[in-house]
Amino acid sequence: MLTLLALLTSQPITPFFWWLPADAARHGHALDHHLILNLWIALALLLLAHIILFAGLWLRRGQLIRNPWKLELPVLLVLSVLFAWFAVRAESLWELERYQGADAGAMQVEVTGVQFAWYFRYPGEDARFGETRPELVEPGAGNPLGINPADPHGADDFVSSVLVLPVGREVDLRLRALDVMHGFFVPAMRLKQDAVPGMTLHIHFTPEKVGEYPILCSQICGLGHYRMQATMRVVTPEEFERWVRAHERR
Amino acid sequence: LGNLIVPAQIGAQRMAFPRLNAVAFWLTALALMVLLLATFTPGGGPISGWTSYPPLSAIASAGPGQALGMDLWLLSIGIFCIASTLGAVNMVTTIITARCEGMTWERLPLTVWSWFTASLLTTLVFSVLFAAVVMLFCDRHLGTSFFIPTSDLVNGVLYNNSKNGGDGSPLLWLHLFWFFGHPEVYIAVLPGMGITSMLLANFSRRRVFGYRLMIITTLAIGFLGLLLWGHHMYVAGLNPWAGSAFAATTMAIAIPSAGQGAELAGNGVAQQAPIRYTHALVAWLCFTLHHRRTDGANPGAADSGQLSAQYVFCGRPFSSDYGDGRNFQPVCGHVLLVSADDRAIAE
Repeated sequence: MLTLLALLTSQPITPFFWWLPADAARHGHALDHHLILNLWIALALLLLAHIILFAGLWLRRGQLIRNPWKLELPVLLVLSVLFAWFAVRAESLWELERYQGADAGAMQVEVTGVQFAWYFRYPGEDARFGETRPELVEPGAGNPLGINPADPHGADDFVSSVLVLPVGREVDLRLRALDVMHGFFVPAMRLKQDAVPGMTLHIHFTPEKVGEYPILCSQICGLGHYRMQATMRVVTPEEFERWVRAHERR
Repeated sequence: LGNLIVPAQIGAQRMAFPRLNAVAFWLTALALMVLLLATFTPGGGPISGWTSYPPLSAIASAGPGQALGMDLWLLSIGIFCIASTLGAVNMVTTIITARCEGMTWERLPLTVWSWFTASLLTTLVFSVLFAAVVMLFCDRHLGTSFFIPTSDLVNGVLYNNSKNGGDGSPLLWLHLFWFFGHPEVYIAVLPGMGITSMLLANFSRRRVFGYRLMIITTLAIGFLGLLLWGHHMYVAGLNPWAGSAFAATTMAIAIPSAGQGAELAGNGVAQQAPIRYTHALVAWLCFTLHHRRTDGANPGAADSGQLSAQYVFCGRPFSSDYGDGRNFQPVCGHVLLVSADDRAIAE
């Protein structure tokens, strides 16, 4: 039943909540295709297994199969080939997303998870992030990430609570967490990566459709975990320029 | 259930260490009591979930319930680790040393083989979980930093461990926890598989279909089960190559799992078992198919899916096959019947 429901997710029109959200990232299409293919194969195997099972129960009266290897080996061989093919197929997608970093020209944004909010830092005109120090963190004084004022690279950094991105340009996100583990999860961008305290992790993607998409926390992080949400706004390059100019610190 | 049935199935008078058996049993009860007690503490029970990822679980100020509640949770899990390990050692020893004359390894009921495999896994992985629990306790109270990175800022308080030279990593906990957490799935499911195949054989009045193959796949599942903990950590910040390696082992375990499914189908089809027992097969098919879905292209699906598979499967053989108005007692009766029947076959 679940398989059947999930199969319906291949439809782009999504009036029900259990269907996949519309894909808005460049790499998303191949992932969705792989997932749906996976479900079709699983459904076919499930049906096949049950046809054999019920056919055997109702129809066959006669000789027993004495040698289990005769029944088992062909099945296992076919399944092994199927699984191997599917694993290679999956890994080629994984490789594209994870083995290589972002393009050198990709836009840089830093994402920081903290109980219970996401902060997005843009490097400003110099395209370099300033140093941050946890002891300088002071949300009340407008420095939620602890940007060091002594570092000149940090002078033009600006922090937003909305992740605004230009459409069609590759983005390189650096993920950090100040306190506990958080999970950066953007269903519409087919993106999921944990933000781990003490580590800086990179994830890259290209948004392809203008729109607003929810950002969630996928790793239980405390009492406010359920409301640790933010918005990703994908806009045209012109609008992005306007937005940056309005927020830039000089 | 294993402690009750295994001695009868292998023709032993009792478990190898009866007192140890009692200690393990009552420690398990104690672990449950302590776990329940955690919810009656100031701030309530721990809120970091069953995976208890640090630093949320390591720092008391990270949330309500992360102080005394979390300590009691750790104590409870620690006690449970000891109880499980004692029970498993007892089980392995009993199966190796206490078999009656003529009960060779090749005549053991499949339930015994599955409890044997599950017990081997238990001794290996619960000891690792116990170590992780002790390390987390040290992080909380003894100033170590196995799992807390330098300068972790929680709720406005800076945890500066650098003066102790400590720069821990939450990922260490993830590795240790899932090295337990994944095999635990097989510890829970293998006995169910053994019981299902014995019941099918018994009530169709035939020998177990593919007996030797069933043993091989049980051991293979147990072994591979130790090698795929990383598929709970695809997006946790591992090297992406590690993700590929764990995806490969995850796909590999689908093969013996599918083998067991086919053997059970063989039990059902070739042996013409009563149709109501095939319900259990449906659950196993779900389990096998589910496993195929936790592959690398679907990062993040593993965590939630794994849990549901465990519940689906553990629930099925007991609830739908025997839940029809009968209580737990007849289940034991059935399995004992199996053992008697199986010994007749063995003889």
